[in-house]
Amino acid sequence: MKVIVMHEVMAPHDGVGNDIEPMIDLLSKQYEVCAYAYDRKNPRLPYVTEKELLSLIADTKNLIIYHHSVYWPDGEALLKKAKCPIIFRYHNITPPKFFDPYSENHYYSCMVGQKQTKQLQKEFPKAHWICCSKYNARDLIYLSKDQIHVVPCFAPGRLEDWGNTTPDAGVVKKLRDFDGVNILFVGRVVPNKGYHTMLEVLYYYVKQYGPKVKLRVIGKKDENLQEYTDFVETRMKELGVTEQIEFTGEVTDATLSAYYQESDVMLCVSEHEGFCIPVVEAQYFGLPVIALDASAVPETLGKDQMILSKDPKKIAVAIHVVASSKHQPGGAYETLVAQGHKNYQERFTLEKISEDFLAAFHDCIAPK
Amino acid sequence: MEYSEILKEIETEYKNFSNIPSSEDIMTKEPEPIFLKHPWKYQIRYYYGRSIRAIRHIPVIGDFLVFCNHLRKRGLKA
Repeated sequence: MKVIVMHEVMAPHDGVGNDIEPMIDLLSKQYEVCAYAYDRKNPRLPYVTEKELLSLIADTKNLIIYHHSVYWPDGEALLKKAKCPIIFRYHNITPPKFFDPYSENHYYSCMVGQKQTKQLQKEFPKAHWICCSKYNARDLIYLSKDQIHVVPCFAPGRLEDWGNTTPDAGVVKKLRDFDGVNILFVGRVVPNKGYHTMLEVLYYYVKQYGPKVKLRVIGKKDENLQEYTDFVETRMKELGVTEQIEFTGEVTDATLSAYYQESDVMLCVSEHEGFCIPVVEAQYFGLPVIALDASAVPETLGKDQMILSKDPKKIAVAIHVVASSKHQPGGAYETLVAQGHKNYQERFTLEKISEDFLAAFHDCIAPK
Repeated sequence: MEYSEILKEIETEYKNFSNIPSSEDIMTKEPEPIFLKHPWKYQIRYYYGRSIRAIRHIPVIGDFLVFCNHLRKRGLKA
């Protein structure tokens, strides 16, 4: 049996790319695996051409793992030509409402992406779906329970590689020298990440506890979402928190590692996540997380973690309570870090994810 | 410290916030939704796209679509 992994774009460092590469590495130990993508940005993967793909998927003994995270009509057309079984790996699609009114194209592609999720379930009624979270599984309304499996994204498993990178000394010094609370957020500047809430949290924090606080945002701005970027910048000025925010853009592993290790708290008020990799990374590095009770984030964070409703004042208080107990033995900070680390060890090591994935994979391919 | 104790501490500290404007006071309105107001437009775009994709592999129709696209691009350039 040959396994063909498909996705429109295969890049080395994005969320889906970080799931695809370790999955291929794992399956390659037992099967012959190849990859098919329209946009091949990761040179490490064993790609096949469209002609080779058509010949492979015509053989009923082979198997397709189709990663569904975007609207890819040509991918769906290729699946219709397949005679071999299909497993869908579902990463979720951001609801279009977040992009209204900032970008018509983003709105449209999310809308049709969600339509395609339903379409794929109807067109391939026997296929199994492996979701990254239970939250994602809620979208699979046309399938029976035995067709749905939940296995976390492989991305946290890669921490065992890049997590040991020596942290950037310059960033370490900058954060240590700052006489205030270092808050971290990792995520692109897009509407579903909750930037408007984050700015309000910062506003209340400054009002109540003073200006000695810095929110460092690691993630690039999307040039096709300029209207949203403008909205965020205007809001920063309105709330008078421009001095308290630093946008770093994309960073290297060494820089990211330094931010995770030297920050005081991670704030995640994202309103839609199909999994949320950064909160697991924070748990790995021993950084307490304060998050919004929305989408897959609480599920990913695990039990006894700081999950709050959308009340910016309360979130600001939580930041203060957690950050101020950093050097207090047995305090809030230590409790959250210990619980977070336990969550990572029990659920997200590469060994555990690989084990869960193989169990689900073998269940999918077992004759029924 | 137990998790419940952390939550209690937050609740106690939260009470000190009474003198700061409420969330509604600092709220600026986000821009009005635009696209949600006319979903039919996107339905048409979606089904039109799928229909074209479904028939473009038929030789004569495929060639005709390529020709139409060529004309459209020339038109846009002009």
